[in-house]
Amino acid sequence: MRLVDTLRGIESYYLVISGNGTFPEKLILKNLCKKFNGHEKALFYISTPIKKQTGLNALNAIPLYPKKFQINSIIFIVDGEHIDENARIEIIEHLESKGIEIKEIITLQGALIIKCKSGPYDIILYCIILGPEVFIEEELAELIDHHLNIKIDLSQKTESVGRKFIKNRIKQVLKERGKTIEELIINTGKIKLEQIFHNICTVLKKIEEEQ
Amino acid sequence: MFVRNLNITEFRGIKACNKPLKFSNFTILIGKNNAGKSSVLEALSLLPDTEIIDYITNRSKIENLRSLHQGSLKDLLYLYAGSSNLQFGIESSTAIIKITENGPATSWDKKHGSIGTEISRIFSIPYNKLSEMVLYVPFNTTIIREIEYRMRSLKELLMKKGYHIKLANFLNECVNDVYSELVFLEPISLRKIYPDNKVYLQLKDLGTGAEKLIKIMALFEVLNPKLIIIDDFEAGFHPTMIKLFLRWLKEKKWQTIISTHSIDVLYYLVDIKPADTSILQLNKSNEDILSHEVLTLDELEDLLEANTDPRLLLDALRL
Repeated sequence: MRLVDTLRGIESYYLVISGNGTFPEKLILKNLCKKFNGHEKALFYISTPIKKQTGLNALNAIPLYPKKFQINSIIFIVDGEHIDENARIEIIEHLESKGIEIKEIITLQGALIIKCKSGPYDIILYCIILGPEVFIEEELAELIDHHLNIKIDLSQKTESVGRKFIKNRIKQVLKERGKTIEELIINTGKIKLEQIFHNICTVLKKIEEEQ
Repeated sequence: MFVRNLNITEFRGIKACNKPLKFSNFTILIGKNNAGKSSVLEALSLLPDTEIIDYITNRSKIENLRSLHQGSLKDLLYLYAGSSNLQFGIESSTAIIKITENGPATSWDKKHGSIGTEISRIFSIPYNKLSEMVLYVPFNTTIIREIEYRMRSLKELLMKKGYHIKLANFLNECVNDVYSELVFLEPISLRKIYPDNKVYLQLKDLGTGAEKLIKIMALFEVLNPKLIIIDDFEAGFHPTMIKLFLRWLKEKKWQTIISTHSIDVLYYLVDIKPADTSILQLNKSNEDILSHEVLTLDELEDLLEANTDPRLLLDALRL
């Protein structure tokens, strides 16, 4: 599997959309994809230069992709902080408010696969909620702990200011140790990565298995 | 709206369109380099007629294009031979401009004759005022410089309507300097206010973006054209200037057609929301067939909310 931003020579791909703001998801996805070695499968991710925290509003574009761009397989990534209580209910409600008809919902541990229809178009939407609770930095903190044996204090993660502090702390630790997220992922075994980035890897594995 | 649609055959780098381009009152052309954006704008620049004098350059519209490409009329023809055919939808009629290396010929609703005369009649604009009807600003610093000559001829109108002050005030919102007014010295200058002094800065010394902004705003304000065309809209503009200029354009009644590579322009459009806006993503195949996809402003907003870059998406998909 690979993360691409061009489709030259690629016929089958999954478009990645995000409801997150500044967050190294592209870097994490890119390096996790390398661990899933099926070279034919491609995640197509072309993010805007400045990303906005839009949360579930990122789903507003779902009807556009099949209609205008002939894209029917979409991966939606969002931090847990954008979910109030129940991801499944909130995502479904949001999709239905956009006129999308839900056909089937498959719960895959921390991820959702939603088979749905927008007008005449069939869509498969893979929803990945990041962070066990709040945001991807929780998972990054676990990766850092695993490699560098440094515990990032996550006690303020439910506060906006606290999340900023955690993001900065992660950057600071990586800088001080001369490490990059890329290096840490590359040097981590696949099984451990599946534990740490549980929801992302669940979807990547599922995609790998699909014909 | 002045021009509703355009179909191009064998003009510049475009062999044909797979379907006519439909314009809104505010139309933004996007697409990678050599996708045909400038060719589309150049085709539009020939309106209201090829022999009408281009207000900015004081050359005929057709001569203006030839001059822009520093060559002969053959340079306007696809692969430098044959003939170009430009078909415009204007009101409920069809205007056609056919260009060969011998010169242009025009027809209106299949009758050979001047399209300028018909446009003058339909829009109740005196024929001698047609040169003010369509203003085309290419990505060309020489032409921006040439506007100064035209500004000078509009001095009385600019001052009578207070634009010499309004434009200075507008510029103040885009830059850190404080200007009080445009002054028609030789060359045209801006009066800059220091705490204990005043100096006159020549427009040409403002920097490309500010110079371009002031000059084209001055022309547009006074002439109040039916259609303005700006190639590489954002060239030289800081995002603040882009935002304020778009906001200013939104309030105008004329039709606006611009090209851009800038994501800032797209973000600000979503914020500003001009009425009747569409984004045309152009793509030219290796066979030089121009295709396009239309995005509404709402669709653009949805894509940006999904953190998807529409410029790259459409390009990657080659739609």
